[in-house]
Amino acid sequence: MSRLSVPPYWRERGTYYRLEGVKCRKCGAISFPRKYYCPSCNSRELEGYEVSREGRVINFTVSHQQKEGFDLSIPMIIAEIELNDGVRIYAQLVDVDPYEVREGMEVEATLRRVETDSHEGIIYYGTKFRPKIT
Amino acid sequence: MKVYISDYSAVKADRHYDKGIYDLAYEAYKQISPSVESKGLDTLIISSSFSLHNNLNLGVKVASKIGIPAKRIVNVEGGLSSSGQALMVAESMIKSGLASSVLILGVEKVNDNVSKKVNRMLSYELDSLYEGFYGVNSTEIAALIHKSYMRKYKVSKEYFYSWPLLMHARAQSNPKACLPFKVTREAISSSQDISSPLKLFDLSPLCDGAASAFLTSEFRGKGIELMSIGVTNYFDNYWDMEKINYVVKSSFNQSLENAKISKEEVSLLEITDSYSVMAALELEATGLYEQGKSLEQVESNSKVNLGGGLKARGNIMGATGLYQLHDALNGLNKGEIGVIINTSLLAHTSYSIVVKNE
Repeated sequence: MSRLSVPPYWRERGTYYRLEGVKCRKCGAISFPRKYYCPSCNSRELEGYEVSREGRVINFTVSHQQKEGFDLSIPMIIAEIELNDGVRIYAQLVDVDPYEVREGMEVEATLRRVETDSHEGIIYYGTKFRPKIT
Repeated sequence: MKVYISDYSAVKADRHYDKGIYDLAYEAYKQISPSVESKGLDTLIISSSFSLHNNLNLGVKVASKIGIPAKRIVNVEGGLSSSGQALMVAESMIKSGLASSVLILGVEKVNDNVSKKVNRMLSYELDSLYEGFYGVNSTEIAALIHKSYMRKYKVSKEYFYSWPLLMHARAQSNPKACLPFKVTREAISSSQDISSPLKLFDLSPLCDGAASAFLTSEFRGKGIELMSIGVTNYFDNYWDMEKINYVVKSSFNQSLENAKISKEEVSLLEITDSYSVMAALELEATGLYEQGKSLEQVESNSKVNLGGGLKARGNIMGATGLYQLHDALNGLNKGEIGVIINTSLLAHTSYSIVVKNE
């Protein structure tokens, strides 16, 4: 139950790989992950939209919680990120020491391994963020 | 039509390695079976959360296994707010005339799983296709909310220490509490880092347990009136303190309005302190405590979470609301009104239940 089976992982690949959300055709509000209506104006006239792959850290926590499937990710830095198009998301920060993370730090998306399902099973990939390489 | 809570019970919240889900349910039922069997039972509602994903249609199995003579059986799952949902269903059934006696039995068996799995299960109340996929759970989101609170109200992490201090002190006199021991500021400050700035004592221990409430349409038994229930849901932006305030405040105000009472008439509060910051936010949402100061304003004699709250009595997930009800009713004197606020882990959902000891 805790790990996704292949079909839902495949269906959500746009969310995980390309940060696909939706944009309201009426009011322009962006939702990520995607919804079936616009939470700003309740319209159902939506179009696909890839959110920005760059932004800045506005809040973060360093988690030491052990979780099934995520042993190699501890400590895990979870950040609330404001993307350049104004969308706020949660994501894991990588390639940075927990002591060096700062609010306001500029970050960019990077495709990384999220979890593996045994030696012969699927390797799950998704989008994490790292300090922006200038 | 009035609805009464004519009896209620709870098993000690704990890590019950020697007891299974049916053992726990049976213990809670046995304590109130004289009331239930003398009145007769229309409906059994099972309130559970984690225990349902591998125990489908649990209510029928519980009734069959332990011998509960119910005509109808309903299963309710709403995460940490499952019991609030179950109480609302029971109240509606009685007020509509569909039932005249409803037994709600909350049961949860979390500790057959290792901590790693339980920590992952805490993401089940979030979006399983997003936060769940990336291994983020409610504790990490609570840590972000905790930091936002510290920043907004310019309080230090020591501000939150008063809550576990008080809850653990209260749990010492609650025989149903999981952690009935006193703690010190030093113990809290030196406790394990969980997700910065959260320390171990900012969380609530996940426990096994079972609790019950027997609702009837007649004045009977312990004579507690269930006056009203208010409910509000909001799933977006669950890191946003204003949304949490809105959800809890709206359910609280609805329940008072439905009961036709003012907040000044509330003598006792029972809140869902899944995390220390949630205690602060819920207290403030009632309007009875100031924003940014609530945890300093709760005094040693305040009638708030008299049994030690989720922090020290324990977090029994789908049965938690019934434990809250149990602890509240044990502290409610004749003529007093109490409000139980049963929320999901990060208060996306809030049930506010008004009870009166007649």
